[in-house]
Amino acid sequence: MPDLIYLDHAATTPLRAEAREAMDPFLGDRFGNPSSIYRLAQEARAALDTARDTLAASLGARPAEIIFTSGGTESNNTALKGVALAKLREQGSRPGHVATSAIEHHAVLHPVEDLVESFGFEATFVPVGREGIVDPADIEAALRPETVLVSIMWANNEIGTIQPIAEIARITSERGITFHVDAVQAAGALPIDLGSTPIDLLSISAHKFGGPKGAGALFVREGTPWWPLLTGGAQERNRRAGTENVAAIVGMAEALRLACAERSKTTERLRMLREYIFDGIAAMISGTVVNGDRQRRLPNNVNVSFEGVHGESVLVGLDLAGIAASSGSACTSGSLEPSHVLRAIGLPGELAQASLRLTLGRSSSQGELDHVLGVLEQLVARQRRFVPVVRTA
Amino acid sequence: MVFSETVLNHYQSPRNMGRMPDADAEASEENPVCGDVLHMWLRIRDGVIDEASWEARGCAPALAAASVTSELVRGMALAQARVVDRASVMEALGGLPARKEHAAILAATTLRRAIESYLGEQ
Repeated sequence: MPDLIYLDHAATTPLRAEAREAMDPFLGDRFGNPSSIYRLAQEARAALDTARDTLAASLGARPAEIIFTSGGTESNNTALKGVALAKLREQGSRPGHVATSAIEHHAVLHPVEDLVESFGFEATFVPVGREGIVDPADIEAALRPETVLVSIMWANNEIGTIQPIAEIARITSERGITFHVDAVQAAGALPIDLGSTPIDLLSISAHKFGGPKGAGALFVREGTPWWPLLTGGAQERNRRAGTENVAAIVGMAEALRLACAERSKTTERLRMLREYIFDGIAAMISGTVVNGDRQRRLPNNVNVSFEGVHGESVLVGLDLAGIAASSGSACTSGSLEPSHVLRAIGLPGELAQASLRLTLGRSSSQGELDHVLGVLEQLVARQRRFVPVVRTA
Repeated sequence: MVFSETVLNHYQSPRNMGRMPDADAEASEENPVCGDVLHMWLRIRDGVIDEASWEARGCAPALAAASVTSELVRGMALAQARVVDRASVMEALGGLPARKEHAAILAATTLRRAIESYLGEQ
């Protein structure tokens, strides 16, 4: 077995060798600022343009609709605050309404809360059922005449569930409401065609698909209301100020191009491994609950809870065995509350604390998973021996 | 790893784990927010803690805190054991990250409750 079995690809992925190679010249001799006029700088400009073309082609978008950012968090903040504040400016002083779901990433939920608390917007957090999938009818029901923006993630980062984005896009576009999609977990893993899906804004993050950290992009369809979050430079056609992270952007484009080219093969392989580990856990460990719909989820996402076990304890045990994974238990997030996603799908607190997320990637193999299953079986059995019979005095 | 060697050692090889059927004192405490549960048993001879044991459901530091406390108080006079607090447990564990201090608090509180119940009964 390797020294490290990495099963936390939803948190971040290793940088692909091809992306690193593409980045290398821009970390060395080709260091020019793309906004300058001499040849050195124009090399960087050309690389940026090529990266933009590649990224746009991978998403079915036009190059002019791609804005480079520092990552998923900036893309989401820029999209939500940018659209809402642009609308606020259009409408004078009347803040509108924003609809999102209860299972969004905090990089969407917190900006929406900022809009409510600081700018007087109203917001609806549409609930989900046990399967962790937003019902488009619930989105439709949440819309109001003053709704300015809907934001729904393409795939959930904790339980991997895939949301009915095309159906929601149809509903919002019929009503002329701006639709933002957080596709941070979906990009590279699921087919995305912005040419045929009426999405107005879409966020991606390079390090989730084999690119470097510190780079992301936001697709902004032409004609979408816009208010730049970052000002102080004319970069990105005045929509995002700041010198571009050329090397990281070049790496991101190469990583996304490869992920899209390999997608159908990768999907098949990961789905088989995912089912293998789901079946293995069900067969070897009693008292297990699958979190989120087992089929309508990302091919690499396994999320389960073990009754009577603390998720973080399992993580520590896995780490000591050289296995990197994640949990929705409170302790891991640094807060006392367990994952809002697991609570939103109706999981009782105790089971939310007992969750384990394994997210597979390019390096994952059946041999690794056999080893992980064996370690998990032992860890869960051991944890269960600690559990007290709580007596009432 | 964010935890000290002592925390990992107690997590991997917990001391004094398991019920004590003939205990002189016991108490159960729960952290209502994060859901950690700890039950502790004490055997007391002539005002001295002869043995302590525990069962718990919680994160790794919670289990380690229970384990280290059960060792820490063995042979302690009740008056001395009564003042075991968060800081004593943290010290015995070789420190804890700030967000994990609740593990030490749970162990210290459960111990104090067990001693109080014993003294109340006498």
